[in-house]
Amino acid sequence: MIPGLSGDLVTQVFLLVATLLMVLAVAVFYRAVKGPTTQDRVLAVNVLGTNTVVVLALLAEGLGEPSLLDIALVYALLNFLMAVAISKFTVERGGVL
Amino acid sequence: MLETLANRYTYVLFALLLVVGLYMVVASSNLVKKIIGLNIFQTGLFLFFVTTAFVDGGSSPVIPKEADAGAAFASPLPQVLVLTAIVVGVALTAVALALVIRIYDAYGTLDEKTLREVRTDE
Amino acid sequence: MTELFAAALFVFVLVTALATAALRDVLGVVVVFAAYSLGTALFYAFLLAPDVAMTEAAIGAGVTTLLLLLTLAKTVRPTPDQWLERPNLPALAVFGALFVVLVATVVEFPAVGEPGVMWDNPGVTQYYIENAYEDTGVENAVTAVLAGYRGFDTFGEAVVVFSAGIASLIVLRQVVFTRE
Repeated sequence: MIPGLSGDLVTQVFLLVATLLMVLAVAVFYRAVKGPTTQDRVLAVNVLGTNTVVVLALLAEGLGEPSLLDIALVYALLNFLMAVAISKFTVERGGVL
Repeated sequence: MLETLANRYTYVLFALLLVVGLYMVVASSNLVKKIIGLNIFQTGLFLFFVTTAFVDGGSSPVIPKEADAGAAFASPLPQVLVLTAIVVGVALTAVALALVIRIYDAYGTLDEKTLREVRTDE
Repeated sequence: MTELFAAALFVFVLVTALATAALRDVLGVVVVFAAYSLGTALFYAFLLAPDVAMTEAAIGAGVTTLLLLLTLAKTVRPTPDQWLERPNLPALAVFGALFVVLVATVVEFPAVGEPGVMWDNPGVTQYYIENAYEDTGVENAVTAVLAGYRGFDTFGEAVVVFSAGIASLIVLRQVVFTRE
Protein backbone atom coordinates (compact mmCIF):
# COMPACT_ATOMS: atom_id res chain seq x y z
CA MET A 1 0.00 0.00 0.00
CA ILE A 2 1.17 3.50 -0.81
CA PRO A 3 1.27 5.71 2.31
CA GLY A 4 -1.01 8.75 2.27
CA LEU A 5 -3.65 7.08 0.11
CA SER A 6 -6.69 5.24 1.38
CA GLY A 7 -6.70 1.53 0.61
CA ASP A 8 -10.00 1.78 -1.22
CA LEU A 9 -8.68 4.37 -3.70
CA VAL A 10 -5.61 2.24 -4.46
CA THR A 11 -7.84 -0.78 -5.13
CA GLN A 12 -9.96 1.29 -7.50
CA VAL A 13 -6.85 2.46 -9.37
CA PHE A 14 -5.62 -1.13 -9.73
CA LEU A 15 -8.97 -2.20 -11.16
CA LEU A 16 -9.06 0.84 -13.48
CA VAL A 17 -5.61 0.00 -14.86
CA ALA A 18 -6.69 -3.64 -15.35
CA THR A 19 -9.76 -2.41 -17.27
CA LEU A 20 -7.67 -0.14 -19.50
CA LEU A 21 -5.27 -3.03 -20.23
CA MET A 22 -8.23 -5.23 -21.22
CA VAL A 23 -9.44 -2.53 -23.62
CA LEU A 24 -5.95 -2.30 -25.11
CA ALA A 25 -5.89 -6.11 -25.41
CA VAL A 26 -8.67 -5.83 -27.99
CA ALA A 27 -6.48 -3.41 -29.95
CA VAL A 28 -3.51 -5.82 -29.79
CA PHE A 29 -5.82 -8.63 -30.86
CA TYR A 30 -6.47 -6.80 -34.15
CA ARG A 31 -2.89 -7.65 -35.18
CA ALA A 32 -3.45 -11.33 -34.32
CA VAL A 33 -6.50 -11.45 -36.60
CA LYS A 34 -5.18 -9.31 -39.44
CA GLY A 35 -1.83 -11.05 -39.66
CA PRO A 36 -0.69 -11.00 -42.45
CA THR A 37 2.20 -13.33 -41.57
CA THR A 38 2.23 -15.97 -38.81
CA GLN A 39 5.09 -14.09 -37.11
CA ASP A 40 2.77 -11.11 -36.61
CA ARG A 41 0.18 -13.38 -35.03
CA VAL A 42 2.67 -15.10 -32.70
CA LEU A 43 4.01 -11.74 -31.57
CA ALA A 44 0.48 -10.41 -30.95
CA VAL A 45 -0.50 -13.46 -28.88
CA ASN A 46 2.76 -13.15 -26.93
CA VAL A 47 1.94 -9.53 -26.09
CA LEU A 48 -1.57 -10.63 -25.09
CA GLY A 49 -0.07 -13.26 -22.77
CA THR A 50 2.16 -10.68 -21.08
CA ASN A 51 -0.88 -8.41 -20.85
CA THR A 52 -2.81 -11.22 -19.13
CA VAL A 53 0.00 -11.73 -16.59
CA VAL A 54 -0.11 -8.03 -15.66
CA VAL A 55 -3.94 -7.99 -15.48
CA LEU A 56 -3.91 -11.08 -13.22
CA ALA A 57 -1.37 -9.44 -10.89
CA LEU A 58 -3.49 -6.25 -10.76
CA LEU A 59 -6.66 -8.31 -10.12
CA ALA A 60 -4.92 -10.20 -7.30
CA GLU A 61 -4.47 -6.86 -5.50
CA GLY A 62 -7.74 -5.32 -6.68
CA LEU A 63 -9.98 -8.23 -5.67
CA GLY A 64 -7.87 -9.21 -2.63
CA GLU A 65 -7.19 -12.69 -4.02
CA PRO A 66 -3.50 -13.56 -3.58
CA SER A 67 -4.03 -16.99 -5.23
CA LEU A 68 -4.36 -15.24 -8.61
CA LEU A 69 -0.62 -14.54 -8.48
CA ASP A 70 0.05 -18.29 -8.89
CA ILE A 71 -1.93 -18.28 -12.16
CA ALA A 72 0.10 -15.27 -13.31
CA LEU A 73 3.28 -17.32 -12.75
CA VAL A 74 1.89 -20.28 -14.73
CA TYR A 75 0.96 -17.93 -17.56
CA ALA A 76 4.36 -16.27 -17.67
CA LEU A 77 5.95 -19.70 -18.18
CA LEU A 78 3.34 -20.95 -20.63
CA ASN A 79 3.48 -17.80 -22.73
CA PHE A 80 7.14 -18.38 -23.48
CA LEU A 81 6.63 -22.07 -24.30
CA MET A 82 3.74 -21.30 -26.64
CA ALA A 83 5.71 -18.69 -28.57
CA VAL A 84 8.61 -21.15 -28.98
CA ALA A 85 6.27 -23.96 -30.11
CA ILE A 86 4.48 -21.87 -32.77
CA SER A 87 7.72 -20.27 -33.98
CA LYS A 88 9.34 -23.67 -34.36
CA PHE A 89 6.29 -24.85 -36.28
CA THR A 90 6.66 -22.03 -38.81
CA VAL A 91 10.42 -22.50 -39.27
CA GLU A 92 10.56 -26.28 -39.67
CA ARG A 93 7.25 -27.89 -40.51
CA GLY A 94 6.47 -30.76 -38.17
CA GLY A 95 8.97 -29.70 -35.52
CA VAL A 96 6.63 -28.59 -32.76
CA LEU A 97 8.27 -30.32 -29.82
CA MET B 1 -34.81 -5.60 -20.45
CA LEU B 2 -31.35 -4.20 -21.09
CA GLU B 3 -30.66 -3.93 -17.36
CA THR B 4 -31.89 -7.49 -16.84
CA LEU B 5 -29.40 -8.69 -19.45
CA ALA B 6 -26.59 -6.53 -18.02
CA ASN B 7 -27.13 -8.18 -14.62
CA ARG B 8 -26.80 -11.58 -16.30
CA TYR B 9 -23.85 -10.77 -18.55
CA THR B 10 -22.03 -14.07 -18.03
CA TYR B 11 -25.16 -15.99 -18.98
CA VAL B 12 -25.46 -13.88 -22.13
CA LEU B 13 -21.81 -14.63 -22.94
CA PHE B 14 -22.55 -18.32 -22.26
CA ALA B 15 -25.36 -18.20 -24.84
CA LEU B 16 -23.15 -16.38 -27.36
CA LEU B 17 -20.23 -18.82 -26.97
CA LEU B 18 -22.59 -21.78 -27.30
CA VAL B 19 -23.97 -20.37 -30.55
CA VAL B 20 -20.55 -19.44 -31.98
CA GLY B 21 -19.16 -22.90 -31.14
CA LEU B 22 -22.12 -24.72 -32.73
CA TYR B 23 -21.93 -22.45 -35.79
CA MET B 24 -18.26 -23.38 -36.23
CA VAL B 25 -19.05 -27.10 -35.93
CA VAL B 26 -21.74 -26.86 -38.60
CA ALA B 27 -20.47 -24.20 -40.99
CA SER B 28 -16.68 -24.76 -41.14
CA SER B 29 -15.60 -27.12 -43.85
CA ASN B 30 -12.21 -27.83 -42.24
CA LEU B 31 -12.27 -30.68 -39.70
CA VAL B 32 -9.70 -29.03 -37.38
CA LYS B 33 -11.85 -25.90 -37.24
CA LYS B 34 -14.86 -28.04 -36.31
CA ILE B 35 -12.93 -29.41 -33.32
CA ILE B 36 -11.93 -25.88 -32.26
CA GLY B 37 -15.64 -24.98 -32.44
CA LEU B 38 -16.40 -27.88 -30.11
CA ASN B 39 -13.82 -26.48 -27.68
CA ILE B 40 -15.47 -23.04 -27.76
CA PHE B 41 -18.85 -24.68 -27.08
CA GLN B 42 -17.26 -26.41 -24.08
CA THR B 43 -15.77 -23.24 -22.58
CA GLY B 44 -19.19 -21.60 -22.84
CA LEU B 45 -20.62 -24.35 -20.64
CA PHE B 46 -17.71 -24.06 -18.19
CA LEU B 47 -18.45 -20.33 -17.92
CA PHE B 48 -22.04 -21.19 -16.98
CA PHE B 49 -20.93 -23.54 -14.20
CA VAL B 50 -18.32 -21.15 -12.82
CA THR B 51 -20.96 -18.39 -12.77
CA THR B 52 -23.33 -20.53 -10.70
CA ALA B 53 -20.56 -20.87 -8.10
CA PHE B 54 -19.79 -17.12 -8.04
CA VAL B 55 -20.94 -15.03 -5.06
CA ASP B 56 -20.74 -11.24 -5.35
CA GLY B 57 -18.41 -9.81 -2.70
CA GLY B 58 -17.23 -13.28 -1.68
CA SER B 59 -13.78 -14.80 -2.01
CA SER B 60 -12.35 -17.89 -3.71
CA PRO B 61 -12.98 -21.18 -1.88
CA VAL B 62 -9.68 -21.17 0.00
CA ILE B 63 -10.94 -21.21 3.56
CA PRO B 64 -8.54 -20.12 6.30
CA LYS B 65 -8.40 -22.18 9.51
CA GLU B 66 -10.34 -19.61 11.51
CA ALA B 67 -12.91 -18.32 9.02
CA ASP B 68 -15.41 -15.65 10.05
CA ALA B 69 -18.88 -17.08 10.35
CA GLY B 70 -20.36 -14.45 8.01
CA ALA B 71 -17.70 -14.61 5.26
CA ALA B 72 -19.05 -15.55 1.82
CA PHE B 73 -17.17 -18.05 -0.37
CA ALA B 74 -17.68 -19.20 -3.93
CA SER B 75 -19.15 -22.70 -4.00
CA PRO B 76 -16.40 -25.32 -4.53
CA LEU B 77 -18.67 -27.98 -6.05
CA PRO B 78 -19.34 -26.50 -9.55
CA GLN B 79 -15.67 -25.55 -9.77
CA VAL B 80 -14.64 -29.18 -9.15
CA LEU B 81 -17.08 -30.34 -11.82
CA VAL B 82 -15.54 -27.87 -14.30
CA LEU B 83 -12.00 -29.02 -13.40
CA THR B 84 -13.02 -32.60 -14.24
CA ALA B 85 -14.77 -31.48 -17.42
CA ILE B 86 -11.72 -29.53 -18.68
CA VAL B 87 -9.47 -32.58 -18.43
CA VAL B 88 -12.10 -34.86 -20.04
CA GLY B 89 -12.54 -32.25 -22.78
CA VAL B 90 -8.84 -32.32 -23.63
CA ALA B 91 -8.92 -36.14 -23.74
CA LEU B 92 -11.85 -35.86 -26.17
CA THR B 93 -9.96 -33.34 -28.31
CA ALA B 94 -6.93 -35.65 -28.41
CA VAL B 95 -9.01 -38.59 -29.71
CA ALA B 96 -10.78 -36.34 -32.25
CA LEU B 97 -7.46 -35.00 -33.55
CA ALA B 98 -6.06 -38.55 -33.80
CA LEU B 99 -9.08 -39.44 -35.94
CA VAL B 100 -8.44 -36.34 -38.07
CA ILE B 101 -4.85 -37.49 -38.70
CA ARG B 102 -6.20 -40.96 -39.63
CA ILE B 103 -8.75 -39.41 -42.03
CA TYR B 104 -6.02 -37.35 -43.67
CA ASP B 105 -3.89 -40.47 -43.99
CA ALA B 106 -6.70 -42.36 -45.73
CA TYR B 107 -8.15 -39.63 -47.96
CA GLY B 108 -5.48 -36.94 -48.25
CA THR B 109 -7.79 -34.06 -47.39
CA LEU B 110 -9.37 -32.38 -44.39
CA ASP B 111 -12.03 -30.51 -46.34
CA GLU B 112 -15.54 -31.73 -45.68
CA LYS B 113 -16.82 -31.17 -49.22
CA THR B 114 -13.84 -32.87 -50.87
CA LEU B 115 -14.18 -35.76 -48.41
CA ARG B 116 -17.82 -36.21 -49.39
CA GLU B 117 -16.89 -36.29 -53.09
CA VAL B 118 -14.12 -38.83 -52.47
CA ARG B 119 -16.49 -41.01 -50.45
CA THR B 120 -19.18 -41.05 -53.18
CA ASP B 121 -16.58 -41.89 -55.85
CA GLU B 122 -15.55 -45.06 -54.04
CA MET C 1 -15.03 -0.44 -11.11
CA THR C 2 -15.43 -4.23 -11.25
CA GLU C 3 -18.40 -3.73 -13.60
CA LEU C 4 -16.20 -1.81 -16.05
CA PHE C 5 -13.57 -4.55 -15.93
CA ALA C 6 -16.23 -7.22 -16.48
CA ALA C 7 -17.51 -5.30 -19.51
CA ALA C 8 -14.01 -5.05 -21.02
CA LEU C 9 -13.42 -8.77 -20.40
CA PHE C 10 -16.81 -9.62 -21.95
CA VAL C 11 -15.92 -7.69 -25.12
CA PHE C 12 -12.48 -9.32 -25.34
CA VAL C 13 -13.77 -12.90 -25.00
CA LEU C 14 -16.58 -12.26 -27.48
CA VAL C 15 -14.27 -10.65 -30.07
CA THR C 16 -11.74 -13.50 -29.83
CA ALA C 17 -14.50 -16.12 -30.19
CA LEU C 18 -15.97 -14.38 -33.24
CA ALA C 19 -12.51 -14.01 -34.81
CA THR C 20 -11.89 -17.74 -34.30
CA ALA C 21 -15.10 -18.49 -36.18
CA ALA C 22 -14.49 -15.95 -38.96
CA LEU C 23 -10.81 -16.50 -39.80
CA ARG C 24 -10.04 -18.75 -42.77
CA ASP C 25 -6.37 -19.73 -42.30
CA VAL C 26 -6.22 -22.77 -39.97
CA LEU C 27 -2.87 -21.88 -38.36
CA GLY C 28 -4.23 -18.37 -37.76
CA VAL C 29 -7.32 -19.91 -36.13
CA VAL C 30 -5.13 -21.99 -33.79
CA VAL C 31 -3.15 -18.90 -32.72
CA VAL C 32 -6.33 -16.84 -32.25
CA PHE C 33 -7.87 -19.71 -30.25
CA ALA C 34 -4.87 -19.52 -27.88
CA ALA C 35 -5.71 -15.84 -27.32
CA TYR C 36 -9.35 -16.82 -26.70
CA SER C 37 -8.17 -19.33 -24.08
CA LEU C 38 -6.27 -16.53 -22.31
CA GLY C 39 -9.49 -14.49 -22.16
CA THR C 40 -11.61 -17.32 -20.72
CA ALA C 41 -8.99 -18.16 -18.08
CA LEU C 42 -9.02 -14.50 -17.06
CA PHE C 43 -12.80 -14.70 -16.82
CA TYR C 44 -12.64 -17.75 -14.51
CA ALA C 45 -10.08 -15.94 -12.34
CA PHE C 46 -12.38 -12.91 -12.19
CA LEU C 47 -15.30 -15.16 -11.13
CA LEU C 48 -13.32 -16.37 -8.09
CA ALA C 49 -12.29 -19.73 -9.51
CA PRO C 50 -8.46 -19.63 -9.43
CA ASP C 51 -8.12 -23.42 -9.67
CA VAL C 52 -10.26 -23.56 -12.79
CA ALA C 53 -8.28 -20.66 -14.29
CA MET C 54 -5.01 -22.48 -13.58
CA THR C 55 -6.25 -25.68 -15.26
CA GLU C 56 -7.59 -23.73 -18.23
CA ALA C 57 -4.22 -21.96 -18.53
CA ALA C 58 -2.14 -25.14 -18.44
CA ILE C 59 -4.49 -27.47 -20.32
CA GLY C 60 -6.81 -25.24 -22.35
CA ALA C 61 -4.21 -22.82 -23.64
CA GLY C 62 -1.12 -25.04 -23.41
CA VAL C 63 -1.93 -28.67 -24.19
CA THR C 64 -4.82 -28.03 -26.62
CA THR C 65 -2.77 -25.56 -28.69
CA LEU C 66 0.12 -28.04 -28.77
CA LEU C 67 -2.19 -30.89 -29.88
CA LEU C 68 -3.68 -28.70 -32.62
CA LEU C 69 -0.22 -27.69 -33.84
CA LEU C 70 0.91 -31.33 -33.88
CA THR C 71 -2.16 -32.22 -35.97
CA LEU C 72 -1.42 -29.40 -38.42
CA ALA C 73 2.18 -30.60 -38.68
CA LYS C 74 1.02 -34.14 -39.51
CA THR C 75 -1.62 -33.02 -42.02
CA VAL C 76 -1.92 -30.37 -44.69
CA ARG C 77 -2.44 -26.66 -44.19
CA PRO C 78 -4.34 -25.39 -47.21
CA THR C 79 -3.16 -21.98 -48.38
CA PRO C 80 -6.06 -19.64 -47.62
CA ASP C 81 -7.80 -18.30 -50.72
CA GLN C 82 -9.40 -15.51 -48.72
CA TRP C 83 -8.91 -13.72 -45.39
CA LEU C 84 -12.32 -14.45 -43.83
CA GLU C 85 -14.68 -17.39 -43.99
CA ARG C 86 -17.75 -16.94 -46.20
CA PRO C 87 -20.82 -16.75 -43.92
CA ASN C 88 -23.14 -19.74 -44.05
CA LEU C 89 -26.55 -18.01 -44.04
CA PRO C 90 -28.85 -20.99 -43.21
CA ALA C 91 -26.61 -21.94 -40.26
CA LEU C 92 -26.53 -18.28 -39.14
CA ALA C 93 -30.35 -18.16 -39.21
CA VAL C 94 -30.73 -21.39 -37.22
CA PHE C 95 -28.19 -20.44 -34.57
CA GLY C 96 -29.52 -16.88 -34.39
CA ALA C 97 -32.89 -18.43 -33.50
CA LEU C 98 -31.15 -20.68 -30.95
CA PHE C 99 -29.51 -17.59 -29.43
CA VAL C 100 -32.89 -15.88 -29.07
CA VAL C 101 -34.28 -18.96 -27.30
CA LEU C 102 -31.25 -19.14 -24.99
CA VAL C 103 -31.52 -15.44 -24.08
CA ALA C 104 -35.25 -15.89 -23.37
CA THR C 105 -34.20 -18.57 -20.86
CA VAL C 106 -31.32 -16.53 -19.47
CA VAL C 107 -33.51 -13.59 -18.40
CA GLU C 108 -35.30 -15.94 -16.00
CA PHE C 109 -32.03 -16.79 -14.23
CA PRO C 110 -31.08 -14.98 -11.01
CA ALA C 111 -28.58 -12.13 -11.43
CA VAL C 112 -24.86 -12.97 -11.50
CA GLY C 113 -23.42 -13.34 -8.00
CA GLU C 114 -26.74 -12.95 -6.22
CA PRO C 115 -26.60 -14.79 -2.88
CA GLY C 116 -29.28 -17.36 -2.11
CA VAL C 117 -30.02 -18.36 -5.69
CA MET C 118 -31.72 -21.58 -6.75
CA TRP C 119 -28.51 -23.52 -7.44
CA ASP C 120 -26.76 -22.14 -4.38
CA ASN C 121 -27.53 -25.53 -2.78
CA PRO C 122 -26.83 -24.25 0.73
CA GLY C 123 -26.69 -27.67 2.35
CA VAL C 124 -23.83 -29.23 0.40
CA THR C 125 -21.88 -26.00 -0.26
CA GLN C 126 -22.11 -24.91 3.36
CA TYR C 127 -21.02 -28.36 4.55
CA TYR C 128 -17.93 -28.30 2.31
CA ILE C 129 -17.03 -24.76 3.35
CA GLU C 130 -17.44 -25.41 7.07
CA ASN C 131 -15.95 -28.88 7.37
CA ALA C 132 -13.37 -29.16 4.56
CA TYR C 133 -10.44 -28.23 6.79
CA GLU C 134 -11.44 -30.45 9.70
CA ASP C 135 -12.23 -33.45 7.51
CA THR C 136 -9.28 -33.33 5.11
CA GLY C 137 -6.72 -30.90 6.53
CA VAL C 138 -6.61 -28.84 3.32
CA GLU C 139 -7.43 -25.12 3.29
CA ASN C 140 -8.40 -25.14 -0.39
CA ALA C 141 -11.96 -26.44 -0.47
CA VAL C 142 -11.71 -27.25 -4.21
CA THR C 143 -8.81 -29.63 -3.58
CA ALA C 144 -10.67 -31.16 -0.64
CA VAL C 145 -13.76 -31.87 -2.76
CA LEU C 146 -11.75 -33.04 -5.78
CA ALA C 147 -9.52 -35.53 -3.98
CA GLY C 148 -11.54 -36.19 -0.82
CA TYR C 149 -15.31 -35.97 -0.91
CA ARG C 150 -15.55 -36.72 -4.64
CA GLY C 151 -12.44 -38.83 -5.05
CA PHE C 152 -14.31 -41.48 -7.02
CA ASP C 153 -15.39 -38.86 -9.58
CA THR C 154 -11.74 -37.95 -10.07
CA PHE C 155 -10.92 -41.65 -10.40
CA GLY C 156 -13.55 -41.91 -13.13
CA GLU C 157 -11.96 -38.91 -14.85
CA ALA C 158 -8.56 -40.65 -14.73
CA VAL C 159 -10.18 -43.74 -16.33
CA VAL C 160 -11.58 -41.56 -19.13
CA VAL C 161 -8.19 -39.96 -19.79
CA PHE C 162 -6.51 -43.40 -19.82
CA SER C 163 -9.07 -44.79 -22.30
CA ALA C 164 -8.65 -41.70 -24.47
CA GLY C 165 -4.87 -42.25 -24.53
CA ILE C 166 -5.36 -45.91 -25.50
CA ALA C 167 -7.90 -44.95 -28.19
CA SER C 168 -5.54 -42.34 -29.69
CA LEU C 169 -2.70 -44.86 -29.79
CA ILE C 170 -4.89 -47.48 -31.49
CA VAL C 171 -6.07 -44.96 -34.09
CA LEU C 172 -2.60 -43.57 -34.76
CA ARG C 173 -0.97 -47.01 -34.99
CA GLN C 174 -2.80 -47.64 -38.26
CA VAL C 175 -1.50 -44.44 -39.84
CA VAL C 176 0.96 -45.27 -42.58
CA PHE C 177 1.64 -41.84 -44.09
CA THR C 178 1.69 -42.87 -47.70
CA ARG C 179 1.11 -39.31 -48.90
CA GLU C 180 4.40 -37.59 -48.09
